[in-house]
Amino acid sequence: MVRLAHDVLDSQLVDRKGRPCGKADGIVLLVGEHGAPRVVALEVGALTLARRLHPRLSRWLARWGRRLGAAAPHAYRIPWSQVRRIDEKEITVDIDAAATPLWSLERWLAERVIDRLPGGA
Amino acid sequence: MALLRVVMIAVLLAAAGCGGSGDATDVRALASWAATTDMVAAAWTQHEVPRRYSLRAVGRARQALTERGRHLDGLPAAARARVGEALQRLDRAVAELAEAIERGDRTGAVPIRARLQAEARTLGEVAAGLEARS
Amino acid sequence: MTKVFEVALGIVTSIGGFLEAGSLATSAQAGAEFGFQLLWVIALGTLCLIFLVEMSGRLAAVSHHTIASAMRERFGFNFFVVPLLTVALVSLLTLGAELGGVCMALQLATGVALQWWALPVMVLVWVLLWRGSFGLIEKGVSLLGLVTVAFLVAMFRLHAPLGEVAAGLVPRLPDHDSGRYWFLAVSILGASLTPYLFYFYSSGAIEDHWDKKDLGTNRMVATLGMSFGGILAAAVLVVAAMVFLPRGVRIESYEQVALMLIDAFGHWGFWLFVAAFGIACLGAVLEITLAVAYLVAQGFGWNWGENVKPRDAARFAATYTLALVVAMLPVVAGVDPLRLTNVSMVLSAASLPVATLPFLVLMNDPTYVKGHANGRFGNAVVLVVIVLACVLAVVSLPLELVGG
Repeated sequence: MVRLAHDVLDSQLVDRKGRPCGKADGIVLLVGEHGAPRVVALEVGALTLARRLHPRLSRWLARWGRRLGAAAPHAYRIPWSQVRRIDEKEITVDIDAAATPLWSLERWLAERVIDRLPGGA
Repeated sequence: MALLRVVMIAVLLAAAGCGGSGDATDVRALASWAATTDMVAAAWTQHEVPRRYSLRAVGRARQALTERGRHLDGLPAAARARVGEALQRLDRAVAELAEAIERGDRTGAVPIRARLQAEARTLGEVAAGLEARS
Repeated sequence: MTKVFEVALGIVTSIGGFLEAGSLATSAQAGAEFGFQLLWVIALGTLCLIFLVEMSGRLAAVSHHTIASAMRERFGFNFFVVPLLTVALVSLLTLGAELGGVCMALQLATGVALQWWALPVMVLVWVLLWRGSFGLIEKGVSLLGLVTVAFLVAMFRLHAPLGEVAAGLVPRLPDHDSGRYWFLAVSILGASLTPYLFYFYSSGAIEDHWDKKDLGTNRMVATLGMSFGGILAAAVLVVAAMVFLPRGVRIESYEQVALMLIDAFGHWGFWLFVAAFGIACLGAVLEITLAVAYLVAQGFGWNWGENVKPRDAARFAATYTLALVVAMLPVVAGVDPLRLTNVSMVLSAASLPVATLPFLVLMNDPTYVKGHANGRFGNAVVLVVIVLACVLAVVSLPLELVGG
C-alpha cells in the first residue's frame, strides 16, 4: 500500500542514474468511467509548486517564464508506470533526467554560464 | 507573522533614524567615545596599533561625537551647558590628536591624553547625575 | 584510532567555527555594558545549541534526510515555503553581517575603507567554494579559526576574577537599563542559535555519509564542540567586561572592539584580534553561503553538494553565487557592519520558532528518527529557549530602536 500524500507527495525523486531530479511536486489523478480515481503521473516543476500556492501565481509565472526560453519553468509529468521504487528516503523513477525538461535550467546554467568560467567542469 | 511585524517596525524605525531628543544614554555614549579616543591614543603612542587604523578610529569617534552632540535639546539646561562646553574642549583635543597621528608625532600626542580623560570623566559625571535623577 | 581522530577533528572544527561576527560583537557589547551579568545567556544559548546540533546530526544519520528535505516531505510545500523563506532571508542578512566583518577586518589591518574590500572578498570566497571541497572548507577554515582561542588566553592573562565570572552564570534581572539588557540578551541568543548553524550541520552530515554508527560521534562532537565554542564566546564577554567597562567604553563600532586584546597581549593584541575576527567571519561566510544553497537545493530536490564540480550541480553553484552577491549589497551600500550584525542577530532570534518548531516535530516523529526520537529534556530546553528568544526579540527590538 502506498499513501500518496504521506509517502509520495513532496518526496525526493532520483532518476535511473541515481541523480536527484526534483521532488514529487504534484500527483496527477484520473477519474475513470466508474468514478474511481487512478494515479497516472507525478508532476514536477515550478509551475506545479506555484499552483499549489495559488493558481494565479502559476499563470503569472508561466506567462513571465516563457521569455526564458529553454530554461522556462515547467510542469513535467512522469508517468506512474515509470515509478520503480518508493522507500523512506526517495522515489526512484525510470527516466534519464538529463534528457527531460527537468534538466533544462541545469543544462542552461552548465552550458551558458559555468562552461565559460574557469574551473567549473 | 510576528516576525513580519518586527521587520516592519524595525525598517520604519531605522528609516526614521534614532531621533531621540537627548538623555542620559546619549551623554553616556559621548563619554564612551571620549574614552575610546583615549584608548586609541594610548595604544598609538605605545606603538600597539598602526597609524592608519588610529586615524580611522579617531575619525569614527569624531563622527559619532558630532552626531550624538546634535541631540542634546532634551537635557536640563545646566547639564546641556556643561556637556556643550565639554564637547567643545573634547573636539579640540580630538582634532589635535588626529593631527599628531597624521604627523607621526607620538610625544606630542601624550599630553592630549590627559585632556581626553578629563572630558570623558566630566561627561561620565553628567550622565551619572542624569541617571540618578531618572 | 580513526574514530578518536574523527571526534577530535569534529570538536576542533566546531570550536573554530563557533565564533563569528554575531557572537563576537554581541558578547563584546554585553561585557562592555553589563560586566559579567549576561554570561548566563551565553550558557543558555549554548545549551540549546548543543541540543539542536545533536538533533540535526541525528536526523541526518538515522533518516538520511537533511532538515530541509525532511521538513518539506513531512509538512508539504505550502507549509515548507514559510521556514524556507524565513531561514533564507535571515541567513542572507547574517551573511551580509559576516561579509561586512571580513571587510572590516581588512579595513582595520590596512586602513583602506571596507567598501573597497567587498569585491575582492566576494571573489576569494567564491573561488574557495568553486574549487574547494567540503572537507577543505570545513576543516581548513576551522583549523585557522583556532586563533580565536586567543580570547580565552586573554581572559587568563588579564587574571579574570573567576568567582565573579561564575556568578554571572546565574540568571538575574538587570540593575539598570533593562531595555538594553534584554536587547543584548536576545542578541546573544540570536547569535548562538542562528538557524543556518543547525541546518548546515545536517547537510554536512549527509555530505560525510553519516549513518547510525556515527550517532556516538555526533553526540560527542555536538556537546564538546559547542561547549568549547560557548566558552570562547564567554571569554570574549569577560575580556570586554575587563577592558571596556572600567573605561566607560560602550561598543558602537568595530573600531572599538579592535582594542580589546591590547591589554592582554600588547602590540600583538591588535593583530591577533584582526586575524581572529577576519578568519572567524570568513569561516562563517563560507558556511552560510553554502547553507543557503543547501537549503534551496534540498527544498526543490536539485542535485547538490560541495564535493561535486560546479558543472555537475549547476543550480546549486548558481545559488551560492547569487547568495554572495545579494548579501554583499548592504556592505557595498555602506551599511555599518556592526549595526547590520545587531539587526540580523535579533531577527535570527525572532525567526527561531519558524525555523525550529517544525524541526522539533520531525525529531519526535518515528517515521524519520525511528527509535532515536528526542527525550523530554531536549524537547523542553529547546522549546523554552526559542519561545523566550522570540518573545524577547519581538518586545525588545522596537524598544531598542526607539531608545536608539
